Parts: sequence; structure tokens; C-alpha cells
Amino acid sequence: MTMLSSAPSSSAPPAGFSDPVQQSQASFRALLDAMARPGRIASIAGDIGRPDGVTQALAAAALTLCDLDTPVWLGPGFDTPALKNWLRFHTGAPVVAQAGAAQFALLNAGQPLPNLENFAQGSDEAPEKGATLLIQVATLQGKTAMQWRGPGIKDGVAMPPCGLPMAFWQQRAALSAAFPRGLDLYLCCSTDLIGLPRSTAITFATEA
Amino acid sequence: MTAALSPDDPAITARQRRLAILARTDATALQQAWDGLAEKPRYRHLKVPETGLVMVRARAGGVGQRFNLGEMTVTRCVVAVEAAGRELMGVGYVQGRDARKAELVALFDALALDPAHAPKIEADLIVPAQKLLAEKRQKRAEKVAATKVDFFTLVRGEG
Amino acid sequence: MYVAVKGGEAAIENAHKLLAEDRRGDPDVPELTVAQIREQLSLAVDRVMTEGSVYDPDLAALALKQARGDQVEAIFLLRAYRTTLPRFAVSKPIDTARMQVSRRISSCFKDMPGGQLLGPTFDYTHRLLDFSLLAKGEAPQAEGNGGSVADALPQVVDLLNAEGLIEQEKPDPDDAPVGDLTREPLLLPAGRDVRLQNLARADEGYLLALGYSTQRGYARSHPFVGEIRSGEVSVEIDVPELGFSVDIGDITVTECQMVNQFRGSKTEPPKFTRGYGLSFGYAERKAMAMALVDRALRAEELGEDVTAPAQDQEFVLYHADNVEASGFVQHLKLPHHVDFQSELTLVRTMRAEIAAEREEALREAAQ
Repeated sequence: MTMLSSAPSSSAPPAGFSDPVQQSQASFRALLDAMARPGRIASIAGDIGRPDGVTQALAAAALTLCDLDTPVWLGPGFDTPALKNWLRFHTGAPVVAQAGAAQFALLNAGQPLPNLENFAQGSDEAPEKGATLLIQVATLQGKTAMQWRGPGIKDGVAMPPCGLPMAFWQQRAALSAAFPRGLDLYLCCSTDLIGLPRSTAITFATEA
Repeated sequence: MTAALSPDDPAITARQRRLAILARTDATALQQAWDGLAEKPRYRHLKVPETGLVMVRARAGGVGQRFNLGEMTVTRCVVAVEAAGRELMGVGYVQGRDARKAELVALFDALALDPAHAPKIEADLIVPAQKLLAEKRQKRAEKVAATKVDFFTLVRGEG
Repeated sequence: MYVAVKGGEAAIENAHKLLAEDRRGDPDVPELTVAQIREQLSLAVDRVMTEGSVYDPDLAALALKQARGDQVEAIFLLRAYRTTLPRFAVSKPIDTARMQVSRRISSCFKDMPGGQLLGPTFDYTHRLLDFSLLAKGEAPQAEGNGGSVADALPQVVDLLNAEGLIEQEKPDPDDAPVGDLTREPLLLPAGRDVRLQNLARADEGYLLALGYSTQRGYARSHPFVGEIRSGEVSVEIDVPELGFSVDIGDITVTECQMVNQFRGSKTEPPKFTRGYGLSFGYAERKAMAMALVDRALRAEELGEDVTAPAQDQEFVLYHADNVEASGFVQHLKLPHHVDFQSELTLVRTMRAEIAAEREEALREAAQ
């Protein structure tokens, strides 16, 4: 019996939403607002359980968006038994080995990021099959480096690189030629997140 | 989905057997067994009882290509039960929409992991329920067997 | 063009009240309980579950009660309800070879391992109205005769397999995607996975007519019932919270394995081919019709000419769903006042033009 109680299947994984109905709805609202207003910070409050090393905003987004029908890919640093177990317990989402098979990816910008080309971009007939990336970053602040323009942004908004390397932003810019195919991103830091849909065009400060 | 543990683990096969019997046990029998516990354990919900669907899959010709036949209603509940100074996780998945039944299955699943409760649950709940299910099955099989038919083929005339 | 209409709330509300009164019927007659429908109109319940695509006898019985026994309406209600529920899991494929059978027959073989078990069938009844059911009766009791039925009976089509006389059904790879019409729209040409799901949800009357048409010569496939079996199968799911699979209960299903003649092709020697039907509950006619249509839809795959309606994927699959069909046919009842006004104007204008032309022609002739 000691063997049983030590088995992972008989002990509870870390908690998720403490109030699943209210919190998932509030988080969904925040995620919608963030994607509708690219560049504007949305916050997710409340008591949300999560594995070590995962921030509240990314955890809330994963718990809200992932389910049985959404294959998830875990990037370097997040591909841990604890995170897999937590995600599977709370969402039932299958964790896939191939980035290209995922509908959602959980990425940690503190680790080497995979090339954005590796993710599903959707097709012209079904652009909604493009993946959504939840990226945990160290900061959403910093020196202005670019201008975001597009639907949901009045005029334009000056943005910092949000803790992401220039190579990342260049890959993102290269993909935008394939619109409506592409990737939608959430940049998550602590309890805050920023939405970056594929419809947002970015010009870099040096080009301006 | 890959199993996190070896499916041949005897502890898992024992738990699978219990869960299969509990899922088929009448809700009132489960409630009676719960009422009969001398001391109710403290527990909390990890997932409150919720009704949802399971897509039932089948195979063409019974053995060939997989396809989705249709869904069935299922209710699930996950609890953490305090036993001997620790928490044991119990899971209940039952056909239909009976929230209390799913909760009771989860509670007994967890309690049966505790050596202090396991023998009593096995003897008072699991074994009688299994016997009842086997009897019901046998009774039906006997009635069906009585409809076994032998068709005689009559030889038709030549030409 | 669709134009919204407003108003009519009071009339609609009163219409619903009148519907509720008529649904109840004469209050001097005791009200039907859902349990009565579930237990005593169980084949109606089975059809609603199969075509409503949700296995839940209580809900299907409730839907029948609410729909005043209108099956297509009840199916609609069940389909609408299922959209409110989350999906927890996809089951492992059910194993019909391990069915606890209540019925199992073959028209191909007289003697087969395990025997022919008629079960609770209408076959061999005389179709005479049983007036004894008018009176309150005792609950009839069936009896055993000392025999029993094995837990697993071999599939009759496997007997033909032994000689290599019938095509083999081959499992797809475990990681291959399985089409799901509740998640993805129907696209043509559809794989057999999507076709079988579509047929399982399809209207029974429609499949029956299509199946019948294949027997009458529109896509002759020369069918025999290899085997029909009804009974309980267990449903097993991978439980995400546990990391292993759990058997969550039994459902009743009916399976039909149809055996069809196949003349062979340039590459294939003559052999038998297969059509497959599967339904929830005891929907045997549905399972048989489904198997006939499944076989007809395999024409292209088997190198046969597509000449008949039952072989035409687009025709069969796009018109099979009675919720869709009923919705589109019945929407004609809803206000189309504006559309009709424009049609009226058009017809009047055309008539006026023709009348003017005639008058002109007469005038010219008179001159």
C-alpha cells in the first residue's frame, strides 16, 4: 500500500483554478480583450494554482484555452513531468511531441525558443488552424523598439521587445507575409499578458 | 494518451477492477455503503461533480478502421480524502448524469487506497456488487440462450 | 435575403401554452412518466439516442415526452442539449466481439459456433394486434432452459476469413486522426470513418429507402446478413486524472455485418466484400440499412461504376441528417413576407409586360 500512495496516480497534482467557473470566465474575458486590443496589458487576478516556474497569466491562459481537442506542445523548460501532469489533470489536453501538431504551445522565453516556422500556420481555407503560442517572458516593459499597427490599435502603439530577442521578432515579421495564415501570441509576465494577433503589423524603430 | 504507469502494475489492475464494478453499482447501494461507514473521512473536491460527454468509438466491421459512433453522457468527480494523515486522490467516472454517484465512486476509490479501509470496502461493497452484476448477467444469458434456434433446411424438389 | 421580423411575443407565448396543454392531453388520463417511456417505448428511445448521437436513455425519453412522440423533434432536442456539455474523453474502440449478446443471427450459415440466438425480436411474430395489451396485465417473464451464452462469440464473417473468401477489415494506425463531424464540417470525398459517423447519425427512414434501392437494382451489391448482434459492450476511456484506462460502464448496441458479392477486378480475384452498420440500442433496421448504404458508398474504392443515388457520396451524406433536413424544409414556414412581396411584384410586372406585348401585337395585326 505504501507503493500505491507514492504512485503519482493516487496523489493530487498542484491545484488549478480555485473557482473554475468564475475564474475561467474572467480569464477568457481578459484573453479576448487582450487579443482585441494588441499591445494593451490585461491582468488576471485571483488565486490560481500552478506548477513551480509558471507565471499566473500563462497558467490561467492554459487552463482557460486548452482542452481535450487542443493538442499542446511544451517548449524547453516547460517540458516537465510536473507541468504535463498538471495540464493533463486540469484540461485533459493531449501533450504532443511535434510542435507542428500543436494548437497551443507553452513557451518559456528564458530558454532557447524554437523557430516560429515550426508551428502550424493554418491554411488559406482554414487559417484558424494556425497555432496560438503562450509565451512566458521576464518583462513586458523596456525601451521602445517597434510600432504595432493593425486592427484593434488606434493609430499605432510604441512597444518594447517584451523580453524577446530580435531574432524572434524577425521570424514573426517574416511570417506575416503569409497572412491570413500565421500565429497568434500571448506574452505573459506575472499576472499580466499582452495579445499579439497575426493581423498586427510591426515596424522596427530603425526602419521608422 | 500514454499511460503514466505500467498497465501491468497489480495495484493499477486492482484499482481498474474496483472502478469498473463501482461504475456499475446502483447509486443507492453506494449511498448505503457510505452511510454504513463508522467514521466519515474528511474530504475536499479537486473537481466538483460535472456532467459531460465521452465520444464512443467503434471500428468498421468490428475490427477495422476506427470511427466515431456517437457520444454518451458521463459524470465525473475527483476528490482528495484524508486518511491516516495524508490525502488520497479518488476518481469517479460514471455513465449518465448522477452527480452523487460519481462523487461516491470517487470517495470509495480513494478510501480503497487506504489499508485501514480497503478490506472492509472490498468485503462489504465491491464483492457483493460484483456478485450481483454476475447474477444479473447470468440470468439474462440464460433467457437469451433459451431463444437459440435450429433451422432445418428442407430439400427442394429437383429441377 | 433574410429580413428580421419583430413582435408576436404574446401570440408565441400563448401558442407554447396551447402546445403544453395539448402535449398533456386529457388530464383524466394519467400522465406518462419519463421512466415509463424509457422502459416501455425503448425502441423509440433507442432511435432518438442513435440519431441524436447521445447515449442517455433518460434524456432520450424526456425528449420524446417533450416532443409529443415526434422522433425527429426529440432527436433535435437531444442534439441541442449535447452542445451544452464538455467532452471529457474519447473511448477506446468498443469490442463488439466481446459483447454480452441478447441477439445474434446469421442468414449465411445455419450452424455457427455459439448458435443462432433470436433474442427479443419481432421476427416470427404474426403482426396481429395484441388486444390483451389493452388491459392491464402482469409483467411477462421470460425463462431460461438450462443453457447459457458465452461471454465472447466469434464473428461469423471470420469464418469466411479463414478461407480468404472475404476482404479483411484492417485497423488504421493508432496515431491516425479519426474524422469527427461534431468538430469538422463534412468535406468530400469523405473517408470511411466520416461516412460511418454520418450514417450512424443519419435518418433511419432515409437510409432504409436508400438501402432498399440498392436491393432493387440501383447499385446491386447482392447482400446477405453475415451477422446481426445486439447486446451490451463495455466502454473504456483513458482517464487523464489517473494516467491509466478505466471501464466506465456498459452500453447497448446493435451491429450488422453485411456480406456482399464482388466480381473481382483486374487486380482482385472474386471475393465477398463487407458493409457495416452500428447503432445504439436495438435499432436493428437502422443498422441493416446503414450496412447496405456503407457498402454502396464503397463503390469507388472497389472500382465499381458510380451509377446509383446510394453510391453518390454527395447525395447520400449531405441529405442524411434529419436535423439539418428538417431545419431547412421547416424554415419555409417562418415569415418570408418580404421575399414573397418581391416575388409578387416580379410576377405582376412580368404579367403586365406580356399583356402589353400581346396588346401591341393585336394592334399591329389589326392595322
